[in-house]
Amino acid sequence: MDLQINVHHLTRVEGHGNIVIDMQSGQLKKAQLEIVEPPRFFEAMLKGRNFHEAAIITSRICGICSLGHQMTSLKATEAALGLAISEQTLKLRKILVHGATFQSNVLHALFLAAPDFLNVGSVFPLINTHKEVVLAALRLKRLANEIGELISGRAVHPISCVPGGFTKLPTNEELAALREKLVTQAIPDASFVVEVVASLAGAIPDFVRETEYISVYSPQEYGLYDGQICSSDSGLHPVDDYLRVTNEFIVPHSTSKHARFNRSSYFVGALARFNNSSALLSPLAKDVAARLGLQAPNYNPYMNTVAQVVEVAHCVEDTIRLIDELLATGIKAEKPNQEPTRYGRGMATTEVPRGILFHDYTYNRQGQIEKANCIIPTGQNLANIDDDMKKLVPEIIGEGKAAITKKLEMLVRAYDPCISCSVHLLDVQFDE
Amino acid sequence: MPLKIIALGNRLRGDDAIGPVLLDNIEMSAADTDLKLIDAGSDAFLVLEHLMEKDPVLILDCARMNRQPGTVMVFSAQDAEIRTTAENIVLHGFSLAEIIEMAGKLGQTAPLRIVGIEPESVDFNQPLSATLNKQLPFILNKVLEEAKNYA
Repeated sequence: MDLQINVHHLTRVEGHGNIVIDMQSGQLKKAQLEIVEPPRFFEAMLKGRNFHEAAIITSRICGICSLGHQMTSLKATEAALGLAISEQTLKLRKILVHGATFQSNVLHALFLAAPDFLNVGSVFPLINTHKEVVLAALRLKRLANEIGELISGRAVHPISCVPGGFTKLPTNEELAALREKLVTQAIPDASFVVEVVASLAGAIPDFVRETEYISVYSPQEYGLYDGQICSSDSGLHPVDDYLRVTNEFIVPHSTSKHARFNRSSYFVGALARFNNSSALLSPLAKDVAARLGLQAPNYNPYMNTVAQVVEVAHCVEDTIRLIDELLATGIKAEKPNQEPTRYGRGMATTEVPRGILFHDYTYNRQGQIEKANCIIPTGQNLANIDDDMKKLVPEIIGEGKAAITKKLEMLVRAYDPCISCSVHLLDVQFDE
Repeated sequence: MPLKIIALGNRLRGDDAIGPVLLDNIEMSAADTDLKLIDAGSDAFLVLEHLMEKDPVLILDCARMNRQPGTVMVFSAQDAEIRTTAENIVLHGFSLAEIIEMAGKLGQTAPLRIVGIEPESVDFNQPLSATLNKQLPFILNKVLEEAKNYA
């Protein structure tokens, strides 16, 4: 059997990617996700920049993951310059990461993935048929933006988190008001979203391919803000070993580098986090996982969307816990610690919604960056997507071209890829 | 009702930064007003929640309008066809055009006007072009004039 599929410019993902399948006489010759975006060389932009500027620049790598890039950047700078942060700063940063995670996960699950499960082309038909759930998702997103505005000064591209701490702190009253909204609004909205996703479970393709799952791991908590690198194949690795783990390499069909560690590819993102750390989820998130039938280890990449929904519950519940801890001691007036105790190399990792992110900076004695390296999650997932497609296509070859194409598109979307960074130039036509 | 001025654009991409740069200038020149200034960066989706509220919204954005670089147009979503093309790189598959359409379907309440500025270059790691820099005071005045309509 012969089959050629070329999905040029896959929709509902960030940036430009093409799915190319070539099967001849029953033999799969090609199954790959082509990445055609030009590289942006953010690392070069960082060269010569002062330590105050690094996080401001890197937060603009991505509009959705701006907070995650900023956190990772701050941590790399603090590691390089020997800047310690307070317990209060740590908790506030964890709340920010939770907000960014549940915002992005809701957006992906409801606006980008759900249309596939309901067999509609986009979110627009859902507004007619599932308006209440769309509005619930928007309220969750809005609340996440409020977290960003309150703690980091802005919903997008934060301004008050700086190396060593915060330039402005929320008040106890503001945090208490936020807590109230999380309890009275976010928990019910998240529960509503869970029920809707549960009703779609039958539409999730049944596909299994065990791979290596890599995520941040912390023995104290579900790994998001900080921890070691955890591989489902080889266990824990220090962050300083990230280059040995990622092993970036180039392939002809992608302008983005691929990554591999113990196998030909590995998976990063919500499902990897769930597989490696599910025992550390909050009680509500564990209930949600049970409700949605998600158990670790799960080897179905389409279930990444379900894992994202589980994380929404975790992030909301854990934010309430962190606020309670902050309110128990009260917010203390603090100034950021910006007195370097050393100049050198610092590496850091954080889980951003799409997976494990690494920043690595080397500073000179003037506090300027001499060398920088950023490894983003989507690049790490690309080889795994190719490997999934190579197993999936022969398994579903009898389903017809349209069904195969749809399942391949759904597969790529399940990874929630962020192929490019956005310039969202308007294209306007006036009637004249 | 206080006017929300929302800037869209990536400060690292040449003239795409025009929205956020205008916002910085408004902050300095109109500090005493009750304008609510919002830097949405590259997240067009952020606009949606504001369109669902009552306060009027003015979006500042770089716009390809087939005019001379630096040209400013102030329009409503109904005045022009805001297209979604494969050339546009849009965050998570949602362009501003789609966000406006989505808001309409969800029950948009905020009046919306858009200030579009024709770019010269949106290359990465470039400052605002000399053309837009020269036009900046004129563009700023145009935005502030528009804002007066809501005072």
